[in-house]
Amino acid sequence: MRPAQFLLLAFILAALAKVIHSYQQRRMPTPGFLFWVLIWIGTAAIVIFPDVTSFVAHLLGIGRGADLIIYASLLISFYLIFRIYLALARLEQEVTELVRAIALERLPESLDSRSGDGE
Amino acid sequence: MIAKRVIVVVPAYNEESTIVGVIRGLKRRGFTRLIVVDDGSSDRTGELASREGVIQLRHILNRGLGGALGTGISAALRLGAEVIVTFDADGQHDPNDIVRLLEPIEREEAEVVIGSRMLNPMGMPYRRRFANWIANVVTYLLFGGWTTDSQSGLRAFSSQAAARMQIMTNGMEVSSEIIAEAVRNRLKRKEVPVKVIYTEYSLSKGQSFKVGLQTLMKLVLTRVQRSTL
Repeated sequence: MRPAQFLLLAFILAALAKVIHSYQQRRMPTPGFLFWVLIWIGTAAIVIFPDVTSFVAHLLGIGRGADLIIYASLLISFYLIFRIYLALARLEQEVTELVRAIALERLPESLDSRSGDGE
Repeated sequence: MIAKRVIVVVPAYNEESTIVGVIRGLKRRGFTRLIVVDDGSSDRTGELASREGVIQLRHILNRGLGGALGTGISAALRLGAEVIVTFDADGQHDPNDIVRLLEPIEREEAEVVIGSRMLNPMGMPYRRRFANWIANVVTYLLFGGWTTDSQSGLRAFSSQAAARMQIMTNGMEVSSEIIAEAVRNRLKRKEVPVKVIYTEYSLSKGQSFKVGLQTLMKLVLTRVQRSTL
């Protein structure tokens, strides 16, 4: 094994420990836990057997395994950013609805009863 | 004279130097049913508006132009408005122009009337005209509705039209979204020329180049989101 592999494996193990810890503390639902465990085990497998990526890359007609990793991570990153954008937009909308509801609480029943004689 | 029950919505964010003049100008012209939405101002905008005896609704957090317009329009609908007018708080509009906006609605020629500053753009700096033109083209390409002034803050809606429009955006992009909603709901649109009172103050309150770019970006994202709804 190369030094880079050791470093990456140490990082993955730390990430896995964090996932397991969060799950034990009940801060993560079971589907999320399984998703992240699979992701990190998959990443560990690729780090230990890098040739797997070359094999898959060839199947897909991509030259090198490293290129496949870069394409896949870019794609996943963009997708996650889009998901975060949607979640943020929803949150913004919810904040506005809340602020609006609070503002409208002070709305009088009718306009004519109180305005028109303001000057 | 205008027979219908008109409510004027004035979204205001940190406009303490102009808000009183705007309210008094509208009242002098006969528009006494006013709703000022104080969009979380950090200055005395809300306090000054209350003293003028108009309905003042306060956002506890600043939500942006779209958020404030949405609040003002729902309030106006609840109060039984037949026509809702939106009017900027920075003093750039002339209250005398409102009558011209109301006429097409009275005559049932249109349900959404935009007061266009570009049909007679005297006094508007060329850079502004160019920026407005870009905004119009973007609005047309994204939402399919052409206007000569997509960013105008002076508009009138019939209450039926206002009730059908769903405003989802919070910021400046709401101006284009209103056009988009008019197109989506197949509301009859019309533009009438309005005056624009450009003072150093109202110019400084407009969208800067940076904000303009942000608005553009948000419009594209709004378009993407609308197609996924």
